[in-house]
Amino acid sequence: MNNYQDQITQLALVIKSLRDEISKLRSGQSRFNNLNCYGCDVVDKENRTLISCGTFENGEANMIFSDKDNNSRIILVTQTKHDHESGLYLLDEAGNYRVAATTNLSGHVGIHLMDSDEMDRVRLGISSDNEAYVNISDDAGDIRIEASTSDDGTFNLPIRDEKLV
Amino acid sequence: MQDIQKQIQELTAQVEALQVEIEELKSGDATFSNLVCNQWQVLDDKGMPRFIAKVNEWGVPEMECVDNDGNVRLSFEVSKMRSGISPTGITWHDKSGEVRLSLTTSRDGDPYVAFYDKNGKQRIAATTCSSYTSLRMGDKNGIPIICAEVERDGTIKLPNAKFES
Repeated sequence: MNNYQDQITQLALVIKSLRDEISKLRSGQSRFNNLNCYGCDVVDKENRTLISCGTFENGEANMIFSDKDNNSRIILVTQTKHDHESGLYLLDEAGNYRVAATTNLSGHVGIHLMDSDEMDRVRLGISSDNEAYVNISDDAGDIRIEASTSDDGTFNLPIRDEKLV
Repeated sequence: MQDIQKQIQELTAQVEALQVEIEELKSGDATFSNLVCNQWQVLDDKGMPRFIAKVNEWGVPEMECVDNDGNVRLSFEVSKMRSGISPTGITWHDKSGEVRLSLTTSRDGDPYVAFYDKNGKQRIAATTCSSYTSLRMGDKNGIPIICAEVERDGTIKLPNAKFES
């Protein structure tokens, strides 16, 4: 009888040890050769999620860096709902998008700098027609300076000069 | 007695199941719904971290992508909480550690993009803030040669421009 009880005690100890190991593995404190997951959160000492990456049912994958106040500040995303655009976005504390560096399926690649109303103020990039461009807009959204070079080598530099100083 | 034998059989089966689970977890075949950790590294076949996402000692979330020689080539940082003036954004470095491209937002959220040459001189910079939008292009010494500003009301300023009559 004692032998059986010893055996049961031993097995219980082994089970506890294995459960501890599993718990450690799942906590992410262990080293994995290869890890598949739907999402991964990196947390600070106070358990706030500051880096989060994941995939979604619609095929989107993203990685979000947040500040301590839980505002998303950097977003990396592939295949958004809109135009299957992939890119990088920087946001201010109020949640407004201020920088967008994106590519889309039509071949456009560009960087947009936006004001605090999310209005494009500087745009530079290469269009799907292979035209390189820089546009600077005013508060109303009107382009005031634009420079571009097209695929065939022609260039364009009109300046809306009614208020040129 | 039969009860004890049955209990031992059950415990033994439980140990086997847990061992299988551990093997699966270690092999990376397991799928995690969400993984929470303080630091996340992807190692190459030599065990060198090539991709590091962590919350640093200042509580700032950061991520670095490292090349084959151990040089940080791409760094992400949300630095609102740091006492310095370091902005939030992404920086691209060359092999010698020089910053070549930075895409950031300031502490106020104003976006800023800058291209640097291999000598660390700023050659292109564009930003938009509450009062104006600007584009500056520097020479090999980093001195701005082309400057263009558009104020919020649409006024264009070209301080370095020379016009032929």
